Amino acid sequence: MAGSSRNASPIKRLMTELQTYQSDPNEALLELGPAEDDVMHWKAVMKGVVGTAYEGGRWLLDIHIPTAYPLSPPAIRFVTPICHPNVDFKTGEICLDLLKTTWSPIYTITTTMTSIHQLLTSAEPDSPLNIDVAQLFRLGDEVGAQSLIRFYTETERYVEKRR
Amino acid sequence: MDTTFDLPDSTDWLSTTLPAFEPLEAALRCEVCKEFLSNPVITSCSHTFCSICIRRCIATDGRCPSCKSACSSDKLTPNIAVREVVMRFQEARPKALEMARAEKEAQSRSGKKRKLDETDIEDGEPVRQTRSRQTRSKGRHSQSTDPIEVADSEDGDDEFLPEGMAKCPICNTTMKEEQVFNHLDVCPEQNASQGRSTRSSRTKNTFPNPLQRRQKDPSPPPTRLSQLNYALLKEGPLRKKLQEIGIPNWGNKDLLKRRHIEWLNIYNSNCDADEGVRKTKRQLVKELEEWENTQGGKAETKENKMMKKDFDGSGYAKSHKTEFDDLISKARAKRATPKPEETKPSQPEVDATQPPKVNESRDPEPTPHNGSDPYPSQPTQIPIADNPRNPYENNESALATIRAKVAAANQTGSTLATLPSEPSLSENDQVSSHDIGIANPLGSPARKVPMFALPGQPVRDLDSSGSTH
Repeated sequence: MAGSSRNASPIKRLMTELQTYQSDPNEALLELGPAEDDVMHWKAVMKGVVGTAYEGGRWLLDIHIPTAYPLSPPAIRFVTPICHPNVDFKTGEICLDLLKTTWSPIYTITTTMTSIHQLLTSAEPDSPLNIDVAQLFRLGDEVGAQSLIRFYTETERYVEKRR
Repeated sequence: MDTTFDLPDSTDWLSTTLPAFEPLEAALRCEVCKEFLSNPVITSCSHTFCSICIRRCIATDGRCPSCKSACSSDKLTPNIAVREVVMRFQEARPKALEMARAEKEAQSRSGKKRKLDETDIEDGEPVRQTRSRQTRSKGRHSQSTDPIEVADSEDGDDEFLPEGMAKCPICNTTMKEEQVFNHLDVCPEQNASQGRSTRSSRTKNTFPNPLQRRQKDPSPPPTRLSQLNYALLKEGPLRKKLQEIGIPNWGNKDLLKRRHIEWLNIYNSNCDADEGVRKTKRQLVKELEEWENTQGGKAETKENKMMKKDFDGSGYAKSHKTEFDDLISKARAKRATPKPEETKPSQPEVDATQPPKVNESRDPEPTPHNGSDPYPSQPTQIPIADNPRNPYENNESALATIRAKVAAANQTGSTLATLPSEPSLSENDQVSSHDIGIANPLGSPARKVPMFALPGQPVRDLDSSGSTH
């Protein structure tokens, strides 16, 4: 009897996730939810981490959910450009093992966003997608890297257009 | 984002006086589907999931979603204790949640904090109690008494039999005591229930109660299906196998394989279900159909929107004949009416033909041009041109016809500003302008040169219209 039918479709789970987010919001995010009316296409606005070079930043992220979700990971990318060693500046592609090999069905969109948020503070310059800033980190030029990040965090800030 | 939908969810407790129930409920939910565990099974690494969820996960990457250790689906064992807890919690949940919410409202209205300790215990109790003792939860929850009442009434029925009467222990038919033994030899249900006690055959249809179930003999559990070696199996035998099982067997080998895996997941998870709630094969096939529509061969993908190679054109035409006939008659009606503007938007890709049509539309007598004269005659003269770009190249008679038409059109419609320049073109010029028209089919309207070009496109159009006439 207990939840006798488990849908193969991810829609119910996504709705549950959305409800969970709304009653228990994620501190890393400003907003999260379906873009327009498509349940399989979400967007999120991420906040910068206080006390880091990303402080005060706002980034729009684009989340595409595959039909095999949660068995396969959502495709997430930064729409707002971000200066980060593991994020491609132009395409917004994120290099995070969680989104590729180590994905597990127990992760939700919210927890994945938390992981991306944590990536902001724990970058891995050894597998870079943004070589320029990764090189600054590798050479130990903390000041240079920090100020570059600060520059882009300030100039590429996402601003909500609709409201 | 609107929140019009309402799905029960562990965070419901956060806004009540019992936020401590949030982690409790989260623990009773499957980590994969985030719903209450259904047919929970425990893995070899001691994690518990819904049977169908973990089976799908293992079929995908062979690992436990929680700890990433290697898992195999034949090591999964039903977790009966958890099943019981989840079931009882779900029964207790609505009322407990309602009370906790009401209390929060009362609190916020009065504005003063009350001690929560008492209510905490009261609401927490049923969950713990149902685990340990069935009878105590009976008094607290009216819903949960139902299964037990069924069992009680069964005993009552036996007592209320009129004197001298007895029941067949197999089929429960009431009869005289002395008839029972004779009846037993011919009892129709004997074979079906394999001579088991009354209770087992009767409780089959009642609400499942795992505690009660232990008292009767369990029926042999259905055997789980095992995976096939898809790599060794060729497409034909695999297709045959699917047919034997009784599930759809269309599609390519990859789809057959995926469908078979999903079938195993559905079927085997049904084996993990409690005996009373096990689904019939028909229901399982329906579930597979659902999978087919969302993730299998009927899922909407980009490729599926294109026409398939083996698309049955004639069959489609037959089944939609009335619609086609309707469209054809509509199109004919449009052609019959003297309104060339109507036909213009229907062929927007042929830009070169548009300027003449605009002119013709201002023609006082457009009907003979459009309707009867040129259309049936031209296709017979020019069946199919070798060069589609210059269909009139070697067909002087057709060119002459067109020139005559154009001249006629120009004479009647000479009010237009651009027209006077056109009749001055000689025959030699026409050939060259023809070429220009091809090179610049989208030439600027001011030049009006393409007007004489009338290249391949209209001919094909006329050809088709000629055949319908």
